[in-house]
Amino acid sequence: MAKFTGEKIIELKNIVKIYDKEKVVDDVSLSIKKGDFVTILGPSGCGKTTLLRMIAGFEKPTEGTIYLEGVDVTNIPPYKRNINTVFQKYALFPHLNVFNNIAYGLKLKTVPDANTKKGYRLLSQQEITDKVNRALRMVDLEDYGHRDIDSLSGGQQQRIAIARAIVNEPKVLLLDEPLSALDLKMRKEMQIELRRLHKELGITFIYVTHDQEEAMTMSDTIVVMRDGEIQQVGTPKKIYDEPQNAYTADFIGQSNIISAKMIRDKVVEFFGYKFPCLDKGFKPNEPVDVVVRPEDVTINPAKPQFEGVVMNSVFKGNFYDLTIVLDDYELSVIDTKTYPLGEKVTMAIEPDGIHVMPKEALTNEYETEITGENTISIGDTDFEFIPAAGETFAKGDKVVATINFDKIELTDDEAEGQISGNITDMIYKGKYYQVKIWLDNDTALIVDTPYDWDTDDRVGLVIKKEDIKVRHDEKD
Amino acid sequence: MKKINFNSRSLFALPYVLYMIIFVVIPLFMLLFFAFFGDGGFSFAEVGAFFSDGSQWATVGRSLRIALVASLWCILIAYPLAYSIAKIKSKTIQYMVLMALVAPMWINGLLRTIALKDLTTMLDENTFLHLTTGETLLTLGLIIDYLPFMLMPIYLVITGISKSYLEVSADLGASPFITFLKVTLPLSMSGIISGFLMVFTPAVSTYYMSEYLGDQSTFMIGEQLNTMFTKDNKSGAAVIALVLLVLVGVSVFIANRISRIGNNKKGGIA
Repeated sequence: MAKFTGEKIIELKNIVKIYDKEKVVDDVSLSIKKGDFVTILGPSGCGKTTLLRMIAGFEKPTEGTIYLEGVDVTNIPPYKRNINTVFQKYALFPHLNVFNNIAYGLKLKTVPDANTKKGYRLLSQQEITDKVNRALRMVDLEDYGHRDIDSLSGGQQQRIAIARAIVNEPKVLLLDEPLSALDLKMRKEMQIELRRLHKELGITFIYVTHDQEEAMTMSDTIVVMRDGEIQQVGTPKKIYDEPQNAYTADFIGQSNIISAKMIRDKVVEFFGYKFPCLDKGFKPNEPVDVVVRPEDVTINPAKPQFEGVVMNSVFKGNFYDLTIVLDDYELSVIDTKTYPLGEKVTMAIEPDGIHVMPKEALTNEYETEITGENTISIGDTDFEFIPAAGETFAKGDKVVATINFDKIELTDDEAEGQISGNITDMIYKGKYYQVKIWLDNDTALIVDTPYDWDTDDRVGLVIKKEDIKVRHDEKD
Repeated sequence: MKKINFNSRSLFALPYVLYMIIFVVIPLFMLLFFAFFGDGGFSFAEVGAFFSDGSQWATVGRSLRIALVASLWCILIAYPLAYSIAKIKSKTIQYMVLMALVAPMWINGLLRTIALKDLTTMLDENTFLHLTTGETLLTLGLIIDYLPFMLMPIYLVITGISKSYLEVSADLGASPFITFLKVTLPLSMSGIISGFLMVFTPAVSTYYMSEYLGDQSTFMIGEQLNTMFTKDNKSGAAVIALVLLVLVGVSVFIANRISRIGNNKKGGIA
């Protein structure tokens, strides 16, 4: 396996992509090591496919530079890049049979040959046949060369699409959600197959998916994306064990995300109890988020730390998925045993089972301007506020409005809200849900809500005037 | 006997079936009747007369040649045109351009034909052009008249080609020109074939075009048919109609074959 650690094959520098004034990819910088299996993971619309298409050359970044083996390829068309792509919908040529689909790239390829006048030549028919047959063997479809594309099943078509890409021996293979159209069993098989191919070929794979399990099982490195920005880059284990923020923790695996307070180094308080942990470097009493994986909670331990009541238990084959209630927190716990519903149990969490993260934001800091006497604009609508004593504002002043997450009320009926928006992210925080809402003018607000909404729900927002605190924007 | 099941859906086909019987099946039998029983008893006399007459063969050959040349010109003009229209970003502008190209069809065909004749005569008299001589004017008339029938199927099939095929081709190392040759052209073959049939079939048997735009040297099979009718030679006309039928049948067959070679997935049209 050709793996040269440290050697960068792809480098993205400050990539920005804007479509119709919307930033789809926002200042992304990323280095990809040669021979790595890198997965770009994120929900739909996070910019991951756009990023891949820019690496392939189908889209040009609005800003930034793309390097392939140190060479700037930002403005090189896709057919001159030594990169091949496996598309989500396979896109096998319907007018060519399996053999000719795979041979498509080979027939266009030139190889150096000192004996010819030009110094290079096309591949011979025999070379092409050999290479195609080898690629067919690699994807386990040896006798399928003469078959028509529409006589193949979805899984077979996907294998042919992979063979068509790898036969060209590209430096980088890009895979855009290649397994999403397959059923679960086929998907699992293909995951193993892709892993094997990656090992055999030694080519760098860049894989795009929204499926965190797929990312965890296949990759050497995971890049978590959200709203066009990279959230975290690391090995699957690192991202699972040490998520950088609540979003990543929630996206990767099942987790309890709890609002907590860092009392001092290595001591954190949540559920009303103090827990020893390994994290330090926070300010005393700084509000933080804590991630506790369900498997890191021990039930009825030798040294109990806190207690709760079993509310729900679901058998999951080799373990039980328990919901345990403490006051108004709901804690998700995994155990090999089940417990009677309603029974009081004691629990403990080892210091290394607690992962402390800085809170992404503590309150909404909304940059806007004064639109009239004691009114500001939020999402293109005027909101009244009560100015602090001694503060004066004039129309057109740039200001920052501070609105606490729990001071915004959401309504099902858009008409009942003063403004409306779409819910994009939602994280369950044990006691409440934290949602991100994009308003129609492309600004966002974070709201803590007791109700379970769906992402993409359209909701109305109500903010009371006494809950809006306004100050002059100091940047001005 | 098979019992006819009058479920609600098959009832919808009834008007069409009646139409087919009255306007296609019965006339076909009448053609056969007139061709072989024209003189009272069954005979090959009329058919034999047609095939032994060298001038008849020449007319058939001429008709095929003129229709073929006009169809090929239509492909040469319509393909790049349809391709460029399909590549326009805005759908609205695409439709507006198409509309402008199809609009001449709203004018009466005879009127257009006569106008073309006057226009070319005027051009010939005042410039170095010789448009009204020989087959030139007739071919020009056929091209102008049938171009929309070539344009539309090609345009539709080009716009239907998924962009992902073009991206895959680029991804595999093909320049835009190679992609056009190896992907766009083969995938649009079915459009070219349907366009060809829609132009060639009516062109081969055109009457008023050759009547108004042609001269003695462009005497076509449609005119021959007209001559037979004016002479009240029903049997002779029936034989010509049958010959036309066979010619069109053969051309559809050949076109489908070519279409299948070009695109092994979609088995042609018709």
